[in-house]
Amino acid sequence: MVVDTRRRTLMCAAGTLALSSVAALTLAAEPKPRAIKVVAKKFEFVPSEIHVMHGETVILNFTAPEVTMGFNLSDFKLRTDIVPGQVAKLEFTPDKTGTFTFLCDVFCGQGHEDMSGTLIVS
Amino acid sequence: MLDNVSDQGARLGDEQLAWLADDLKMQPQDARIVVFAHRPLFDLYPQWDWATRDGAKAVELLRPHPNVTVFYGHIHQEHHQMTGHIAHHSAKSLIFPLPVAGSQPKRTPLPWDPAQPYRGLGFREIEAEPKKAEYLITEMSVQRA
Repeated sequence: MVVDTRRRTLMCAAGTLALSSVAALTLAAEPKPRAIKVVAKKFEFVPSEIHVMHGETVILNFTAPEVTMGFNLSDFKLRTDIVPGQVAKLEFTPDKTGTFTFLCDVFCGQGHEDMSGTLIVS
Repeated sequence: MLDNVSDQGARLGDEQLAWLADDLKMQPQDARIVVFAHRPLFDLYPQWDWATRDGAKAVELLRPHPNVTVFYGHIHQEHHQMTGHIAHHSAKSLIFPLPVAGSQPKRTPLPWDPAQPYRGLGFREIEAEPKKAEYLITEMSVQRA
């Protein structure tokens, strides 16, 4: 049997190229979670209103420039301490729509009681 | 008395929970246990910080005892709720009333009404009624055996 090595080489290259393209397309199709920066300062969250789509994976990146604060989104059982000098990250995918309250749950001074915000999932 | 207000994160803490566990071990199973706390030990409305982060652990420690009542404050209104057989009661405040959980966007005090200056304010009095007395009759003879 005569083996056409050139044809075989071309077929292998085409196959490799096809596989690479599929892999690249697959990787490109997976969207990176949207990063949302949130600053916790006396006595507000900035932004105080966060908009997310149902089923959208997001990463909340918290910083606290002054004192240790907390973030508590009880409707999604999410919370984290926010320590000055560090970025606290919370990744989640909201599985329900509506308007949900989050608040600071680490006492941070006079005004702590008013420190809250709203997550809106649509 | 449980302290769930001194900790910045509104926790009882492991040390206090261990103390509670040890104290409960020394009590008879059916002891009448009255617990005082500032915040609710259960998740009344965590969206307004009306909860204790590790309060469920305290309730779990108390659960084996059938006669437990919890009195707490923090929410500046009368409220009654059961967790299993454990009754939790909060009383009104003497300073300002707070709204019913979730009834408004923020947990700001109810506006003061000069026409009703004491609206929503109050205190609680508790009276304990002892069990009905039982009489044990022992007959004695003049001459003791």
